[in-house]
Amino acid sequence: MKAIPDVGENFDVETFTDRIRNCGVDYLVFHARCNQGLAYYNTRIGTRHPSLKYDLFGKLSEACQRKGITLGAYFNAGISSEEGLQHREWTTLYFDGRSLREPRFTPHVRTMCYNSGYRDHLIEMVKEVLHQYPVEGLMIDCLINYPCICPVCVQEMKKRNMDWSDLSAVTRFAEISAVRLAKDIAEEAMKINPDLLISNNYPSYEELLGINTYFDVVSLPASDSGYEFMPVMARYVRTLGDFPVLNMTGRFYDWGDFGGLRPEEAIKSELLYGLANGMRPNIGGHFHPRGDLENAVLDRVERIYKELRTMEPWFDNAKNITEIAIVYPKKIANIRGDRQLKSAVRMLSELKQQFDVVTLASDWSKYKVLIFPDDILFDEETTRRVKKHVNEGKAVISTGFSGLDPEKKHFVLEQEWGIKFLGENPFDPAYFTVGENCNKGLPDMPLSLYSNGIEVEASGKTRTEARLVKPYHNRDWDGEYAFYYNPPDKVTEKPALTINGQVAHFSHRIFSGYYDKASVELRTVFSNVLGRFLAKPLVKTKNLPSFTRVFVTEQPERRMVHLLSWKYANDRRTH
Amino acid sequence: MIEEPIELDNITLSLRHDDRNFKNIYLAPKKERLSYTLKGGYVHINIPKSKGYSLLVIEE
Repeated sequence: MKAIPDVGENFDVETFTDRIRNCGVDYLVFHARCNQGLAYYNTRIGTRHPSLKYDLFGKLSEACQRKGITLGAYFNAGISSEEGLQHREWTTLYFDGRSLREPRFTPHVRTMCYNSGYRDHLIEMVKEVLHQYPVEGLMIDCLINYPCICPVCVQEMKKRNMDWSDLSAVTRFAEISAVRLAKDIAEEAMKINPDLLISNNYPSYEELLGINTYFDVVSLPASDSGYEFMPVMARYVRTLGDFPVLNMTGRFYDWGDFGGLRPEEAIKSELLYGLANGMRPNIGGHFHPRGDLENAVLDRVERIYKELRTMEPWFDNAKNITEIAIVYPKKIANIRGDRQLKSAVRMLSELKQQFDVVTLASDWSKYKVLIFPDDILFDEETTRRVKKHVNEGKAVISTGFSGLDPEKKHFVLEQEWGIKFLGENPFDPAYFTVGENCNKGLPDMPLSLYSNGIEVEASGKTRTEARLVKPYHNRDWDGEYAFYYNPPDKVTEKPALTINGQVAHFSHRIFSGYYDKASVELRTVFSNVLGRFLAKPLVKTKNLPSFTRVFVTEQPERRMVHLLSWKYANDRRTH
Repeated sequence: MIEEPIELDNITLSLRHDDRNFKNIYLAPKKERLSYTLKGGYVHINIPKSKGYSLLVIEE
């Protein structure tokens, strides 16, 4: 904050870098210019923090070089109060003419237009830092798609035939602008240092391929992202290519939280989760602007890293072995929050399966089973790939509306699925009863699906392995009574689960149901179906609880199995 | 929040050996040897105790 009167006053650069080195840190990212738009180095272009009396970043870079710590310079691209105050024409302009965003009390009150003069300003600051200091990395943060309808953006949107009055088109344009800025920064930076490490943060990982040289997956499980975000991202980002991925957690509970130091077991378990998935550990801190050495934080980091380093030979360049893919060819931005995807990842994790999360950006040919959770509508490319997969005799499990065409009129691969789409199923609540081929470990009674779904007709050789059970009444209010208690009535002929060769389909959105209720029965029936296609999975276990996570990685001539047994307490900050 | 590691006893872990000749099986980093049996295409390994994290190594 600009109001801090004593920035850098207590900063003892030698002690700090000694401690960082003793923690085993080989790469440190430190702010050259912060989220407030203030610089911590001697700049001719930007604004150095007014209370800082010396070149803090310069001193740090010199000490890091001397002590063999690779230093990355942090810049925030999307937000900058200082530069926005000085140049109001550099900030984004919203539809109603506002340049300040609501609510005001956030770091995002002033957001920057990537097509204004700010763009060159930022590029020049990056170049300035790279010219002046021995910096070997760059992290450009918050390249967020803030919508902007300033004249410059509107003119370009008109040229591109994009609807500048439509929020989603303007947001998409902001995304394009953010990625373009990332690319231009990277190009200029590489001219100065062709070996520079570069991580841009926020645009989709797929759009940053070829721009980033490494990726950060930022996850604060105690705060915004919860404990179900990292499991999805860890399995997804590694499918995009062979580059370093950093698993960035924080020592604090929330952003802007200077006074939080989470338990050693919490931080360690998160870093081990990443290491078991080929991700390097990265602990974020909020550095005290006065430069106070936070020994308690450094002690904790040192203890954790010391333990992790004893196992480094088995983590180095180890690759995960996987044989199942959860397929998510939908809008990539949604991959961060999709609950059906989180649910599928949780279910397969509890079943100790080895799997990836894939989009159209990676090859699916190595997988034995493809899983399409709940709402994966098939476009041309997905259809082509799935057809090839099935023709090779490999398996598919789809649920709910997955497998339908984008208009939800019919199954795209009707012959392969062996079922016809009849329409939505009205049962609310829907129950099902599972036949003897797939009912191992299930209670012998009608079971809840906890979700809605579709009706199908099985054709020819397709086997119906489970049937829908109608409730007495649907959930309703009839003007006199609330139909809240709706027990199962008769078993219908309507299929709830069909298997045609190597393709299984559940009529209902069982992953939505599993997300909402964590119904063990849904997991059991899914596991039974999976077991028919994958009778010999890579790992089998005995005596392991559902919450234990198992990962298999590989190095030349050896395989590693990672067992992780931590469980978060059921408090409100765990999602 | 996560505060404590959970301790587990007497785990059996079976890894499909995919026609590889695994013979050196231990817990890293201390290299504690573990007993194992081969059956049905899997190497079955007994882990007497696991607290929070165990790194099992299966070498050719």
